[in-house]
Amino acid sequence: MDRRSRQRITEGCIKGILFICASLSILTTIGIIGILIFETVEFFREVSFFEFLTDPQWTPLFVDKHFGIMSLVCGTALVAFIAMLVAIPLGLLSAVYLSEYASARFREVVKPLLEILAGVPTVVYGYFALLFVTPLLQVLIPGLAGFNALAPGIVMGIMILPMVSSLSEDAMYAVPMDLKEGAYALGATRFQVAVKVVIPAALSGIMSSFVLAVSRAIGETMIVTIASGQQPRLTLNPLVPIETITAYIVQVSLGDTPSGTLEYRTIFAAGMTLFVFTLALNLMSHWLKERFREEYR
Amino acid sequence: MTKGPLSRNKLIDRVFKITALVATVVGLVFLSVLIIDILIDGLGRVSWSFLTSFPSRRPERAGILSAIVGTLWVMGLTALFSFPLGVCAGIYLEEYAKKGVLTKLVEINIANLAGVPSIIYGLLGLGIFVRTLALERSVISGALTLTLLILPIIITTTRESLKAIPFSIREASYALGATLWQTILRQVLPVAMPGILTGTILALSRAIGETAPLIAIGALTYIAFLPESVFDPFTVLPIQTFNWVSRPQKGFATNAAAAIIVLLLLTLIMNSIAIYLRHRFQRRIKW
Amino acid sequence: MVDEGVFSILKLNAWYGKKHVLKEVDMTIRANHVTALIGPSGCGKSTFIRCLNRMNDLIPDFRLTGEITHEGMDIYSPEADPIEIRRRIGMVFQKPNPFPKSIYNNIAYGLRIFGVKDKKRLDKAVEESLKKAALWEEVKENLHQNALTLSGGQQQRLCIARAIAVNPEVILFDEPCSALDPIATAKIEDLIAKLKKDYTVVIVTHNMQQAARVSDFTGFFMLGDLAEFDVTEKIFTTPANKLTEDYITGRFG
Repeated sequence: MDRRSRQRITEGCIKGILFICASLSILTTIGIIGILIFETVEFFREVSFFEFLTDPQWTPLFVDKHFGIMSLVCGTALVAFIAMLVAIPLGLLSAVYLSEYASARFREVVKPLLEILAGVPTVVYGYFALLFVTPLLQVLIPGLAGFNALAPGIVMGIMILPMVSSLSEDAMYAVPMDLKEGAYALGATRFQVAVKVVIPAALSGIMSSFVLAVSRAIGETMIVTIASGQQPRLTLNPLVPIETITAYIVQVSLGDTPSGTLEYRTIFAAGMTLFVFTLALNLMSHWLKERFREEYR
Repeated sequence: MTKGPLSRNKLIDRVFKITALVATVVGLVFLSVLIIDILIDGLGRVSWSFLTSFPSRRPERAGILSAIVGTLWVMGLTALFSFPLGVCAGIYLEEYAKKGVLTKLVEINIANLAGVPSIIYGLLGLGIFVRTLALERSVISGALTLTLLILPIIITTTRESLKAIPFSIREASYALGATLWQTILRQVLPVAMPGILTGTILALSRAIGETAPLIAIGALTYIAFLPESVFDPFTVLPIQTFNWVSRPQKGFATNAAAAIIVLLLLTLIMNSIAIYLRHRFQRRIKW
Repeated sequence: MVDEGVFSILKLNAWYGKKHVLKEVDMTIRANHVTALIGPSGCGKSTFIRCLNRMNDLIPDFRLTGEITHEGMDIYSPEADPIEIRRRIGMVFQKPNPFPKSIYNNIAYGLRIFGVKDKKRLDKAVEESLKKAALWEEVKENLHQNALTLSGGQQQRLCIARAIAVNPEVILFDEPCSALDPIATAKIEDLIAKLKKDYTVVIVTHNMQQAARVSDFTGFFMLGDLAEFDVTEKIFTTPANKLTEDYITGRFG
């Protein structure tokens, strides 16, 4: 019995250790939110919230300082929008192709190859956007600046494509066979089945993948840092240099900004803005996915 | 019934099929162009002296020694931290935690953490490891930051591998009077291990390409010495690449392409190991 | 028939969630005899046998009331330790479930987790258990081969050997032959008949011939009730309960 009680203590200790490891994930979240809130609150002691939201300029590193996050948000949104213009149609079409048309062999070969796209380090995409895609586009669009929102947007779209494609395909795959068979029995073509039956039935799952893709796009850092410039501006013109939230954080981090200064805190205020957006999108995506699961249980 | 609408439908179907196929292939074409472009730009630069030289002001004399060594240091430590932490957390959540509101919350939390942009992890690392714990811009700060970044992936992969182990194995062990931990350690974990390792390597191969969080914690972009302890400053391959890409001279762009080739090779090797492990795992175990 | 049993079960009720799966079951299980539990699927016989070594503890939502005493100790009392109980009361499952390890390590596992490290003692235990399970002759040359390469029948005998190795007092069999062919089944049945010399055996089966062949006592479960419990011969020749008669003559189930 002595052996057993020793064993029990061991088991208890192990459980405790495992619990501590598991709670690390909660601590990470608390850490992220805590750090962001702490520095952001300090930031807003010096800059009014109103100015932060309405000032059209973001120039914390200049002598004439302005703290209007909107120009960074605008740049972020612009690049993300271009990325979505690429990723959503291509992702959806390839999802339809892979789930409704392709042979099993084709899927087996192509899916892992597409996954490689998602595994390429983003700094590589940045290189490609700046030194290959932009020069190529400049041939087609003479007014395109060397740094712009268009090229990184397109490259980012391709990077996100496998995620959209594979999550949408999962959703389409989960649509019950009898729904499809019903349509096929009426003489529908695959196209009709895909567009009239499968996509509507899988819609919340597909939307969930879109929302997640947007979240990925606005959080992406290196492509835009390398290829879209460092000029925050309130514009929807994809041909000129802009700056995203993420690129701004990198820009400051590369410099020698001492901690505790207002400049230092701007990256946390920017980070907080980014975090709030991505969190909202992630939760929305999660909610859509749950809804989709509910429908086909 | 007329032939009209039916053949028109068929035509639409064909056109759509081809469009969809093209859309599927676009990504692959893009990937091929990217790889070819980088090989053309950089392959000529990859040489022994490139691998064994420190960075330099003169592009043709610069190399990636400090970046490679830095990457190995950071990745080694990241693996050392993230693997046990992630596996233990996964075991707790899958085997010990009672299914309830709290566990559900932890699950949502982990899913959300996986979706937090990596640069935010950089800010976390900057605030906690670099400033609060005063570990400075060191290898260990970098490794701890990347550990937190990939932990959600390792936890999820561990849970999925554990979930895949048939209940009958656990039952057999309990029926012999084994405790929960004995059952996990001696029966469940060995069988789940190839799956866990595969996921961990994939997570690490993601970490190896991470640039933004390490820049945020202040990893240096130009470094002409090797770290001698975990408290030394460092640089890594992606940061070195980034540094070269952002310089105007053509020679540095070539260096960047060459560094990318090395980086992609490292990622490729890690992924191949993961795929090999998964393959072996699938073949060996049949229930 | 009161006391004198290895197990005495009093007013046992069990639930999965809201589903009442065992109702007011009373039973006494005698040492060194084979007790068979029969009944249509879903009657509660498997639930019942899994109560005897607290295997149901592993199922969330499971709940029971009543009393099960083993050798005079209430196995559901707060002081009772399920780990100790399972060590003394072994179990063999429906589907053979060897560990994906060597034959030797399958059998040595139970002893190792109990802290036995001595190689000689392990060797001896492995050999003895395999002999008792009538598997030794077939595998003695390949003890380090993976257990999953054995045939279904061999795997099940390995599971029996594994249960024997920790030297339990009782062995519970939960439909041990349902995944096996007739020849393998015959071997297991022979084995069970021999095992009662050393162990108390409880077996759940949906094969009535099997119950008749191997057991001394038989309990007939019906919708969670123990409809009848008696000497096997009596159950199969002159059952007291009409339901039992209908079942064993094949009118339902």
